[in-house]
Amino acid sequence: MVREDNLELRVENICGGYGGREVVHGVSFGVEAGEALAILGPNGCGKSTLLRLLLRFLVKTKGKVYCRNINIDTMDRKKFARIFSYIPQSDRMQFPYTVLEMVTMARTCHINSLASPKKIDTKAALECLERLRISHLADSFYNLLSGGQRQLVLIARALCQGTCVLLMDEPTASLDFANQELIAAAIRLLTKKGKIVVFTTHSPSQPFALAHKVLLLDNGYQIGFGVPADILTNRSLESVYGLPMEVVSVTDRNSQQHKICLNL
Amino acid sequence: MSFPKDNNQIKKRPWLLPLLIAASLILPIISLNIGFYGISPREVFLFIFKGAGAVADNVAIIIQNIRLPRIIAAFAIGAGLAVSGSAYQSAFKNPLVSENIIGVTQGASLGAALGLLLGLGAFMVQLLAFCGGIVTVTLAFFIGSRARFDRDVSLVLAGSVMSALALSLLTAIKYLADANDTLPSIVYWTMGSLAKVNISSLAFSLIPILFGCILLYLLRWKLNILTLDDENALSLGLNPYLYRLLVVMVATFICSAAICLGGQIGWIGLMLPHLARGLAGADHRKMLPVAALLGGCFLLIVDNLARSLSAMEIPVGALTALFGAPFFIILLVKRKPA
Repeated sequence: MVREDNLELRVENICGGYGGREVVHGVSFGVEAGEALAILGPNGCGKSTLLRLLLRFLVKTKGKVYCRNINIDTMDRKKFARIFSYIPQSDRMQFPYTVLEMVTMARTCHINSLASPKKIDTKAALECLERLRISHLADSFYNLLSGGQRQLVLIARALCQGTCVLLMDEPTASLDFANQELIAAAIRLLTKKGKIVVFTTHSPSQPFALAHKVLLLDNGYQIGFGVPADILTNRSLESVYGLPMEVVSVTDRNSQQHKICLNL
Repeated sequence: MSFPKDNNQIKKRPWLLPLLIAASLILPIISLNIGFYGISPREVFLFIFKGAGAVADNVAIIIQNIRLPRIIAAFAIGAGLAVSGSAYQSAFKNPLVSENIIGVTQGASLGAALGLLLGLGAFMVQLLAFCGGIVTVTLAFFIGSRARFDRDVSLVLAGSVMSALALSLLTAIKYLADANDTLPSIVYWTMGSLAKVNISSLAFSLIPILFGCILLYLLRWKLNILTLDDENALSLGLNPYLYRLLVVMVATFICSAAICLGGQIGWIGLMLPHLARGLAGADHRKMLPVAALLGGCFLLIVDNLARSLSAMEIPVGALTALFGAPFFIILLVKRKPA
């Protein structure tokens, strides 16, 4: 199934890690345009390492990654940045940039080496802020925003980069409930636009709510890949987390079905 | 939806750059009047608009050979150090560094002193100054990135170790130098003074400073990206290692040329980028020209003070340190939560 050629993003048996130590052992998956993929697993299972291998921050020891049937290792950094964008966990900066300046930085891969962004680039950045409904923050200092707002700014930056794949490192990790919902809405907006969103998470309920596909990792090995309802079962979760777990279905007052993972 | 404007937003100051450009044109003219030999504003006016022939010969000589080169040197050094300081802060992602904190000043002085000791020509002295600066900044960066402390602190500590080392070697060179001839010229360097600037030394250093500033201005957008962490920069399509190397080389080139011209003039590279960022924001597209003009005006004013506060000239390096040290203390204490 992974070998189908019409998949937007295709990952074949990649291995790699830090220095000589292999952390990720043979991960394969395929995602279509407009899908969100959650990479799930406990702390230290290799989620972040996998993300770094996909982004070519770390060198793969084995395996290939194809985007629209092009091997990503053959691209230079600038070209790669037009296809893959990265949404890190939002840190504060040493330098007081405004939100608009932060988002405009996404245009770097679209301009010449000695050039600066022009009006058209600023306009593109403003449009992305508009799309995430944070254009009122354009002239605010990035550092003085809340964690959730900063994360939204980084999502706007990735959107402005114009890539087909967006990779997020634990986008909701340090956010309160309302801010997590803001990020969830942003992820849904991106997939609706046909983007592929790959995000790491350590919350086993999140893939049900947010992702079309889930990749379950344990200790660097791929435990399962597929639709969350197939992969996240009592048994697979218990083996990964080492806790008695149960996937329960609940119905809300609008008769919507939700699946939640519980630790018994 | 309407949101109230609050002080979390950047203040736009469209008047800032025009004001600084005007100041950069007017200040040098005022500065021509200042000095031990009294020259009236009328004479300066005549000199500018009617040429050297319109004023007395001695006035024309003083303006042409002494005051004008010195004013241009002060402005160029101030602008060059402010621009290179901004570049260092961006390349090392650390707003607390400057050329004399990471050891470039001391390394360049050591190189230049070595050149003077060996009796080399102006070109070789400048080249040795550049090499000395590059060596110290490279070592400081590598030691700093391997130290086990927080990265920002490590770089500052490694820089102070490198500058101490360079200064001790400089002391050894002073000890070896001829007390009648070479020693005074080395000591003059370490104090930082524009008193000995003449047309030929100016022409020699002005070109590298100007060239370096233009190059950094062309790289102004990359300076923004370099302040992000390296993974971020990579994901935006920029090779941060390559650009950091380039930016540090160019900044060191500017610094060593400025040091060859005016000796050790400290603190401008630290203070002015902060002032410029406070006025124009962090975006190097806006702050770099502001830093350059502000730096030029600042050193020109301080040099005017240096040559007019007392009958004896005060070394300008001493005066910039007098302003710079309290500024650094305020910066450390009031540093915004980053």
